[in-house]
Amino acid sequence: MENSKENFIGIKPIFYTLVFEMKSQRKKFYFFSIVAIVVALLLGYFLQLIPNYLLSNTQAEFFKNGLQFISFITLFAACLFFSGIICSEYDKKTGFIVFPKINKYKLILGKYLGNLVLVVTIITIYYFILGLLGFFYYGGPINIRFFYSYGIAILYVIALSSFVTFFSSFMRSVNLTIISTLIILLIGFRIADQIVTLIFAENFEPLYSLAYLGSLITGILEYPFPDPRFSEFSFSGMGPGGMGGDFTLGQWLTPSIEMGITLLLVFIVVYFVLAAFLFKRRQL
Amino acid sequence: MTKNTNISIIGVSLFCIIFLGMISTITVANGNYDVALTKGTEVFTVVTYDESAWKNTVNSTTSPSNWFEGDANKTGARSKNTIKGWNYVVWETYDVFVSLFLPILFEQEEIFPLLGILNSQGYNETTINTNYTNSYNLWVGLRSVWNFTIGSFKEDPTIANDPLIIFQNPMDFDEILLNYNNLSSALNSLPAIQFSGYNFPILESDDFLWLFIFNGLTLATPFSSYLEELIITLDCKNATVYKNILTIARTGETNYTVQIVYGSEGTIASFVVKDNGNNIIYQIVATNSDWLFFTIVIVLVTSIIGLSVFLIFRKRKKSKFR
Repeated sequence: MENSKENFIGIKPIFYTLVFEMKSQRKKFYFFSIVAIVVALLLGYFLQLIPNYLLSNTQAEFFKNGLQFISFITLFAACLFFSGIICSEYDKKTGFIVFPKINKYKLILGKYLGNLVLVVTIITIYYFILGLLGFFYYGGPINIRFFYSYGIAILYVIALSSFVTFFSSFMRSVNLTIISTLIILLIGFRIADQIVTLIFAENFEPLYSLAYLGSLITGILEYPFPDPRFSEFSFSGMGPGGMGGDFTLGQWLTPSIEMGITLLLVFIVVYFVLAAFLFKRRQL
Repeated sequence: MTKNTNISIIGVSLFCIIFLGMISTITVANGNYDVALTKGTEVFTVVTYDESAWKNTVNSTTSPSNWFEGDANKTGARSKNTIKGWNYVVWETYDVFVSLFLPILFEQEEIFPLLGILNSQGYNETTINTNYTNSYNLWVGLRSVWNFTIGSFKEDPTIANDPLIIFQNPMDFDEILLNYNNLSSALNSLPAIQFSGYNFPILESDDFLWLFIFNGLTLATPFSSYLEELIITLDCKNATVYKNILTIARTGETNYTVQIVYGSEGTIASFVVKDNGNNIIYQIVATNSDWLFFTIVIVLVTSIIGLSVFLIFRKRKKSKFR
């Protein structure tokens, strides 16, 4: 009894920080929620009001089309919500408080969990609206792969958040963290993926890339699951007499389910361990 | 008002005009009748099938599977249709011949070689459209179809793009059938057609209606007058109409009637076969889950409004005490 009371007292500051962080980030949360609702409704409902815009053949295809923008929403949300977790403490020099009311690890954990709850809620809103519309157009039951996709989307968000938190642990300011993580996640990984695919084609799968791992969110909705997962298409030059050479473009569609989930988990652990290590070394 | 606000208002107005224009142009471009299709899924269930009564009344050698594909001859079997979209088009006689009559009368794999033969005999699109100069306004819808099955539905539909054909003017059917029968007579006299074993049947109005019912006939709204005009134009001897119910008298082993109820989208909502004594031999009914969807939405909206009101009142109460 005594022990559980002590444990509760230990958890209490984390819970208070979590609630405080959720309240302080509520404007961002409202903004992203509205974006999620608008995008989900635009793709899932308003587009379907156009008679000659064909509804997908199956519910899973409908979900896949509706989830085109989920990686962007999660990416922007992760960068904007998690970028200030550690570096804002350095920025505001909270380490100089003589008698801190809370342990710094509990503070960071509370802040992280508060933001995670908000981002997961945004994703849940998006999936809920899409699921509801899927039910409206195709009836029940909801395809089970939609729930797998939701699970992977949450895993992906945690991986993104760990990546941003890692950057937050050594960057100097919040803005710098947002810009650098956005550039790396939005452009860096994609350019690297294209270069790697151009050089190695099907011989090297870009499993290092968080952007590529995120394609599993929609990839899992494909029926049957893509096999082979590397697609290649060729086209000839448009010059006179077929001149202009032959070109081949390749693309990795999605990681395998097992590899995708394993690597997302590995990224989560690695980035959090690195972030904790840097945070410990760099005193507030 | 600032310059920025003006620009925003103009932008929003332009977006609304373009978006509403996209939605409305296709649906409004017609005369008396309008398309009633809506995107969504309907599930059809075989509610009744009396096999012995069918054999004694309809046909001793066939079953409902000859009319509807799959396990349509099993009580409890379900089929599913998803209406994906529709478009306003204008067909000429060749389009009607190729897109309406050939799929009704021939198997899919027979159509392509048949068109090759017709082309070699000079009956191509240009010739047919020159000889028969009519054109028809219609909507062509597309739907995914899952055939009747006693188990759960497969992931992919049996037919991905099954057409729904809605002629804007039911009076067109008379001319369509007349043109087809004239063309068929000409084609049947061609030695190339005779040698290849093809035969274009000369269709009576009732036969045409019966075949068309199973191959995409969809009504425009208002349904009752559309159906009435359709029957009168075709001069069907064995069909009667009451509101949105089409009743067809047929003869098999004995006389029987088929009663087809058209639902709010102009597609089949119920299909009933009755014997002379008005006993149901076979019955299919359509259901959808719209009511469940709207229940969920109503509960959800009510909860959100309730929660918001509660939070607002609590906030006001708190600020009063401060």
